Order: sequence, then C-alpha cells, then structure tokens
Amino acid sequence: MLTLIRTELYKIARRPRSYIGFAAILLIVGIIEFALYIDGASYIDFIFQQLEGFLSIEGNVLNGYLVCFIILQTLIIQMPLLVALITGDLISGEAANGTLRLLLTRPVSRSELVFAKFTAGSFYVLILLLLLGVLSLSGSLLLFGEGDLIILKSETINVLKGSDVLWRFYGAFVIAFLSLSVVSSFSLMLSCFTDNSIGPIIITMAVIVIFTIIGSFDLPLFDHIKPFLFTSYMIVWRNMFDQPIDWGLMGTSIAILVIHIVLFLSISLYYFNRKDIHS
Amino acid sequence: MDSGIIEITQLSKTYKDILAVDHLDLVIPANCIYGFLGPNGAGKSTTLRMMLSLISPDNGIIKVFGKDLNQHRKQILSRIGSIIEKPDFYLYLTGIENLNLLARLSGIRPNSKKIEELLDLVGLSSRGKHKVGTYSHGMKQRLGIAQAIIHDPRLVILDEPTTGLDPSGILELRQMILNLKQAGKTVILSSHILSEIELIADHMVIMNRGKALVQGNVQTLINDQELVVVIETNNTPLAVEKIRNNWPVLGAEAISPTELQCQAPKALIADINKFLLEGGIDVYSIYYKRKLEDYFFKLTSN
Repeated sequence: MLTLIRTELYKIARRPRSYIGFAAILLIVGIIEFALYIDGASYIDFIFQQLEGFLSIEGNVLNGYLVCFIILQTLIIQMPLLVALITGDLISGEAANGTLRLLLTRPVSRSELVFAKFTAGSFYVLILLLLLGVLSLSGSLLLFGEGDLIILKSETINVLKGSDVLWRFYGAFVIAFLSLSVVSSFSLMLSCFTDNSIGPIIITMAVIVIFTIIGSFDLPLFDHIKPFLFTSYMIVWRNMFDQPIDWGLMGTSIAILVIHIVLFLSISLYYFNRKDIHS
Repeated sequence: MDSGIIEITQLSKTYKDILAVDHLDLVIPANCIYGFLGPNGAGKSTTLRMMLSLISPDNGIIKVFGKDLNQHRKQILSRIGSIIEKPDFYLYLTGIENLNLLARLSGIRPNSKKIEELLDLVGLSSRGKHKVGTYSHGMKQRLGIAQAIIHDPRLVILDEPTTGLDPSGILELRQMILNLKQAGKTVILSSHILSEIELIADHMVIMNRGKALVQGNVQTLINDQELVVVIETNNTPLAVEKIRNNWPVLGAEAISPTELQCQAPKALIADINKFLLEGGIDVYSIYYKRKLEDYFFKLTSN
C-alpha cells in the first residue's frame, strides 16, 4: 500500500498539470497582497464608511490577519476547482491514457488503488493548503504586521484580539482541508465512473459552482435544499472567527463533511471493484 | 484434460445482450507458445482480460498456476507479465522511470543494471532517458515487452503485440518471444497475423463467437488438413483442363488468370510439374497456400 501511495505521489509530482494550482495560489495571493499593500487603506476606509457614527476604530485595522481572512474568502471558490483539476483525473485520466490496464495487471488490489489515489490526492490538497497558509498568513503578517481582527458579518461585527486569532486560523485551515477532501473524494468518485479524463473535472466544477450559487441565495425554496448540499458545510471555516464559537454547529458540520468523504469513497470502492476495464 | 498453466472452465461473459464468451473450456500447457486466434469479436481479448482480472466473468472458473484467480489474484498477477491491446505508458516519464515505477508495483526493487539490460534487450538503451511521449509506436511496443518481463514472470500474455511494428520489428519480436520460451516461460500470443502463430506457436486455440472451435498442437491440427497447392503458369485454362483429365480427384480450378489451385499430396507435386511441362505449359511457380490461413477460414466461415 505504501509503495502504491508513493508511486501515486510521484506521478502527481511529475505531472506539469499539478503545478497549475501552486502557480494560481502564488499569483492570486501575490496580487491581493500587493494590491492591499499599495491601496489597502482606501479599501478599508470604503468598507468601514458605512459604520461611521456607530463605531470608532483605531489602530492597525489592515493587518496580516485581516488580509489573510480576505484571501481565504476570495479563494473559497477557486481552491476546489484547483483540487478537482488533479483529483478528477486520477482514475479516469489513467483509463483514458490506457495506463489503468498497466496498473491493474500488477499485483495491486483495486481497493488499495482507490485508497492510494485518495491519499495522494489528499496529500496534494494538504500541500496546496500549506502553501496558501504560508503565503497568506505568514506573508501577510510580514507585510502588514499584527493587530486585532475585525470581521464584518451580515448582522454582526466580530472583533477578535490579535492574541486570540492565530489558533482560529489553524482551525480554519484544518476545516478547509476537510472541505477540500470532500471535493477530492467527490471528483475521485466521478473519476471511477468514466474513462473520460475531462468529464469528472468539469462535472465537479459545475456541481460546486451550482451548489455555491444556490447556497448564496436567501430564498425560502433554497433554504430547504441547502442542508443537502455539501458545499453548505464547506464554508463552516468562517465560524472559527465567531465570538463565541458555536461548537455544536462546528461539530455537526465537520461530521457531515466526514460522512460525505466516507460516502463518496464507499461508492468509489463499490463501483470500481466491479468495473470492467475496457480502456 | 491434462492440467495446464491456465485452466478455464465454463467461462462466460455477456455485454448487455451480446454473448462475448460462451461457456469456454480451455487448457493452456506450460512452457509453450500458445496462439490465440479468431476473427474480430471472437472473444479473444475478453478472455485474455478475464485471465488478468481486468474483466469479471459472469460464470466460470479461471485457474492460473493451479490456483483460482478470484481468490489468489495478487499472488497470480505477480507472476504474469502482459501487454493488452497496445502499450500505453506515462508519457511525461522517461522509459527508465516508467520501468522503475512498474517494477515497484510488481513487487520488486528496481535495479538500474537490470533495467539497462532490459532496455538493451529490446533495443532502447539509447532512448531510456527520453520521455515516452517522444517514442514511436514501435518503441512503445518494445518498452511494453520490457515492462512485461521486468519482474521475471512465469507467464507472459501478449495481445496483438505486432500491431504497428515494421517488418524488422516483427522479426525481432518473434525472436524475443522464442527467447522467452527458451527461458522456460509460457507465452500466450493473440494475433491477427496467422503466419505469426503458424511460425512460432506450439499450441493454439481458434475462437469464434465466444467459443473455442479447436484447440491443440498447431502442427497436428494443420497436418490433419489436406494441402492446397497453387501453381502459376502461362496458360492456366489449359493447365486446369489437363490436370482435371489426368487427376480428377485433385479438384483443380483456376483462381486467377495465371494461377490454379488443387489439393495434392507432396509426393505428387513433381509429377504435376513434369506433366505440365511435357504438355507445353510453362510453370513459373508452385507453392503451398498458407495452411493455417485455410484452416482458419474453413473453421470460422461457418
């Protein structure tokens, strides 16, 4: 099993496509940090303009923590797409290229192969998140310094002391990892169904975009649908910045994300173990 | 039936309402080159894929090395090397990297000396460090042979291995297959090129519509058939008439303006030649038609 995971990681590392995600994160984070560094003050003034008269703000509002939070908010749509680009192709890509035959005529079990691919995909997600974390958190702290984190929500304003923020970011990254693992298991499942390399990537992206759009509309009809969309639980990382944190909601959301991973992986295993390889 | 390296009992596979393999019974002896013949859609590839557990049978048992494939899949596959359909590789990796990766998956520690020897054997030593994406089809086919034998398997399954190879490539591959047999391995060879099977296979099966029409020793099966002789002359209608008058049982008939064919034992050929020459007919050539080809078409045309 370890050999299989190692070879899967090796293949991911050697594919040029794997580096698109890293380049995209580098670019997006770099652009946001640069733009806020140059013109951040006016951006903050504009946001807090609406609170004039209600709230008096002093100190370093545009600090590393706020910039990191803004980056995370911005990347919430892009990250799953970058993940799907790799994980949606893990099995179907091998089928399309004919290399699935090479793998399955070796002494490896199909279940092991699915697990190895999921593990390698998760490792890729972890590296992406680590890069995002280092660039957005460490980079922003270096550029903008520390300070209290002020977050405007639809009905409330959360002010978190600088000394009380860092662990929340760690928690947010852990939840983001779980959320992206749901995406990777979902696209891996789709990848088992087809021998077409592009299909699972496109379908994953389409599902995430559609679910996110439905989730962002406050319509009574959609309120009934939202609990059944896994994307509804992928944004729970934001709740790490609530004061106080609703641990009940967090626990439920995390459990639902884990259930989704298990469900998608189980379907993948069930289907792939019975699949005839014609490619 | 004698026990073989592979024993297949009542194997069946249906795709929707098409019966691809129909209650197939097959015994493949050890240490031989075994030919798989049949027209397109005969069920050859489906059978080979089932032997490698790429496709699950609906019914039947496949025993390899005396063990049930279903129950000892990993153990059995560790002793089989194969090329199925066409050799596909990770195009973004070099030939050496592909072999390294596949060796690991076969449960062996890759050894650079062994990989070099293998590349040398298949004539790719100068291209081993190049990405497979830059290889020609023939080079991929050679690399396919290398990956199939990298773990020193007892059984090698080659499905249409000569596809896309030039004549010299086919010749080299034939020699490689014979070398594998000499090294004590069993080679299962599926091919559309009947002469290929006739030249190198010891045993064969001819399949059609998912069934084994015949199986056994190649020479025994072919020698049981009558020989077809083709004679090229300068006056075929006259030659046909003369042979028919002298040897009515040979069934002489014109097959082209310059050629006739008849069924004749070897001993009579010199007499026919002499007879035609004395009758004022020039004979340009006399040869046996491909025996296996005739046998194959005779069986599968029904």
